[in-house]
Amino acid sequence: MAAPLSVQVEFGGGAELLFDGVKKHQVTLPGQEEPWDIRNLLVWIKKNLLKERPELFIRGDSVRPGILVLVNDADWELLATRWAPETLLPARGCQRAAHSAERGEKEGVG
Amino acid sequence: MCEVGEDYREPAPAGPPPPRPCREQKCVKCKEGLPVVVIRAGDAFCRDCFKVFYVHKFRAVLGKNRLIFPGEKVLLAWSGGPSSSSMLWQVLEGLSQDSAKRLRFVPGVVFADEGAACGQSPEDRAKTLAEAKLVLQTVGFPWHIVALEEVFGLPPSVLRCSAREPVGTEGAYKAAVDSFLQQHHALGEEKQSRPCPQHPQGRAGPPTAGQTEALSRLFNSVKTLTAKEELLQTLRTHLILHVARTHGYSKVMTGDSCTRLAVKLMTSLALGRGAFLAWDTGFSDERHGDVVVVRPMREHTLKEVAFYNRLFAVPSVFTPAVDTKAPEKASIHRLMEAFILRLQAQFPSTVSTVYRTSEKLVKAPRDGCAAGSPGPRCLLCMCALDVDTADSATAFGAQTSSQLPQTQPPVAEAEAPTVSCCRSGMGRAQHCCRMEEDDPRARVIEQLCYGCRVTMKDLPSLDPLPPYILAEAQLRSQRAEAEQEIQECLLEAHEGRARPGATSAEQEGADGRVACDHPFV
Repeated sequence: MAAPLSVQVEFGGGAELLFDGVKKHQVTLPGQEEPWDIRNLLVWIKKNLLKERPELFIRGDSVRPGILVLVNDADWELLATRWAPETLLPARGCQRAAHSAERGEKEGVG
Repeated sequence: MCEVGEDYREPAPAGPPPPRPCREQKCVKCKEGLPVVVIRAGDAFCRDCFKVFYVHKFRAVLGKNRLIFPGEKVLLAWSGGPSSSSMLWQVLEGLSQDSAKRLRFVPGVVFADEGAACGQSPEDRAKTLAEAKLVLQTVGFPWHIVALEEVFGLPPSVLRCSAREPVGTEGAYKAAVDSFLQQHHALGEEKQSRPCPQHPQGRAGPPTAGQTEALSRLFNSVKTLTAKEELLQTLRTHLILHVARTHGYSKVMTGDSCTRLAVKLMTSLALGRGAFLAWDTGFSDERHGDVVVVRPMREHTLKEVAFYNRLFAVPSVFTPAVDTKAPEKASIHRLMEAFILRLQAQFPSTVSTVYRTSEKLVKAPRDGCAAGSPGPRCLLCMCALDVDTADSATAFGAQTSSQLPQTQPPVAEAEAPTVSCCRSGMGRAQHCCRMEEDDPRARVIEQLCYGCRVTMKDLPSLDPLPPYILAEAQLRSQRAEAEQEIQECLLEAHEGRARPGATSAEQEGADGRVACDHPFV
């Protein structure tokens, strides 16, 4: 049984538009049977934070291609090898979805 | 043999190794630092090594191409987005470095406020503008804020390709660097630190409500998002070009990243702009003649840009674009972006493969369009026209001619009636009236390349277009007509000479005889 978990979730680069324009969300994830991982967190975000157009944020059980995810200011691609699947997200850690290219970025010009 | 003590150690645990403890992995460069970002299929970099890698890449792109001369005025086109913001910061850091590695050009920044095209409210636009100004003040370069509405005040000359100065060769670049260094050595290091006066130009004044309305009417009249994006890009390019010319900048830097260029390459192909890929996506774009567009961010992927900006707190301003919140299939641009990004997620070398392809494209002039005498250019994108009316046997030729309204026959055939109507007594007036009243659209369309013709198909009326485009179209067709008439006059004179020429020769002969006879008289 995983205890309730407090995390800060941050969206940027235009992704915040899907969340009422709010960039930083301080949330408490409820305690549940299985431990929290990013996949669960994404489902929870979709249910609880996402305000519109889920197809622009979630694809399958992951983020839409082009959206970058940082966990504690590190690329989440590092976590595949760094953390075993059963490891909890550290309490008070922050998950940041820096939304890359797609929505926010306009070309310089040109 | 080197494991003498092995037997005395604890036996290795059986079964799979325990999960690696957090942050055991090391940076691939320094082998020490904690990795924070994975780039290029699995290479994990630590913060410091990533910064070195990123900065080096920016400098290498500029160094390799040797296009920007020391002391040259360079306009940085800044949209507020991540890539161009990162570019701004790279230039800022590059200028403040120690002398050997310093960037030596003189930068200025242009920010185009496109709120009207994207349907932003005046309040939101003011907010965006205030944020942008804050960043510009921090950067401290001379800056120009322009509103997209200003396209309604552009002169038609924006659409003319100005004469190009002789292209600098390798030798010329070295000579310029040497003379620059000598000059500054003489002046002393003190004055070198900031060669540009720090006078932020600001904006001429907020756009009038009428202009804003005209611009939103134009964009609302466009039927597809694809055409909207193309039109926005065209107008934005013209505006920035105008700013560059009026303030004496000879280069414009745009922040197109590698990912963006890969998407643009595929989009351009789909839009029928295949002939111009090398200009649209290459490092340098010389189509405007006197102002060259360069893309120094073209080796950075968007992921690298996003991480750099995040890790090193590069400020950027989020401005909604025309396609913000649009579904994936709303436009060719969006579709291609989604396609490339999805492919990239599965095959991490997708973007680099597409990008490398764009690098191999060569800007070869079309047959018959020698560099010395540029052929006709597209009115909007200013590329050499790829439309070939003589080539009407191909599907392309057929489509090209079918796009022109039936009232306007293809150019080659149009010559005959033009000639006959101009020759007949009041024909000229009639002919001109016909061009003015019946076919302003055809007149514009026939001056466009294939890609721009397709885009303009989604614009039901050309009337809302800014006046400079229509004026230049009229000017060009008048010039073409005048040239045609001169050609005909020359032809007539030439033909006429065949017969009256004989008489004049006889006269000359007679005169000559007189002259000859004279001494004897």
